[in-house]
Amino acid sequence: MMALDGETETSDAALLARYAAGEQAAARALTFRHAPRVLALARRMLGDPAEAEDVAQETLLRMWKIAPEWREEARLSTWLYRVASNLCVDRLRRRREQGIDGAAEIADGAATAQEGLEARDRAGALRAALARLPDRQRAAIVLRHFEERPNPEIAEILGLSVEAVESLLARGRRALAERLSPRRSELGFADD
Amino acid sequence: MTEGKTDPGAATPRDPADLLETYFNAERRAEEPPSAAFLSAVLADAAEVAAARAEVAAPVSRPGAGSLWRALPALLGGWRGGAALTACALAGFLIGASGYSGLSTDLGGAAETTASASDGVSGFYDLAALDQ
Repeated sequence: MMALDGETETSDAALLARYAAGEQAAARALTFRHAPRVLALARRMLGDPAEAEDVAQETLLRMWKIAPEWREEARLSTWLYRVASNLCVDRLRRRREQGIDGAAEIADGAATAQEGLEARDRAGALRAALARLPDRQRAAIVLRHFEERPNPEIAEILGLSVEAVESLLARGRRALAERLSPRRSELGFADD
Repeated sequence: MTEGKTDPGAATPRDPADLLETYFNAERRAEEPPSAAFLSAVLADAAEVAAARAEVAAPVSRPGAGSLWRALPALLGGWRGGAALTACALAGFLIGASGYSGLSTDLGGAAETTASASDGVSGFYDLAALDQ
């Protein structure tokens, strides 16, 4: 994706300034650079691909609107992750208020696990386990293990201290391991 | 840990952390790129925001025809300043039209006449006194 934008050397701030000046090529470069990561975060947070696209589109729309006021020293990816994770948490909260159990809707791969030792089934099982984590734990796990953000940046994104992020990650990993361990043989791992 | 990373299908991790890493790897591999429709929608938003911004910016750079007239009273110092300026202009015109010959040669006399006028407020504009 990065290679497609043709602007790999250009900073985000410079691209935002060019977009604010009316250059659509800059918008294209920013989209190819950031949309995949924002969308991946939203997918893992929400579990629903359509809803994730809505959140990612809304996040990027806010970026287009803020472009003329963007400060050079700010880090765009951190800002985007923060906006996207806040929008996801809002949606998850709304789901709970409306009595919709998002976790139940996520395919966990159990039905197809018996067919073979496929990574897809494990990915599905992980998604289902992720969906049962509290919102903040889920966000911390996704940012650390899939987006590969360092803990201080995760703290900035979630508006928490680094210690709080470390605690969230530890609890999240423990909860995931507890949920996935009993399904080892079911998901193709050999029994001890 | 590394065992799970290289080939999640073949590994049989014993440590829960290694097992978890195997799942993370499987999920990373399952990640799908954004659809073309999604990217098009994002770019359409970008174009729409840019167009709206250009539309808002355009009228600001071209002031309307009536704005100069609206700004004139303020330039002249408000209605008091404007009234004083108009009165002075009118007085100057009338003095010129009256053909008072002494004004050009004897300014001191004119000033004296003004000072001795009974109406202290409008003495300078007292055209009757100037005519005497």
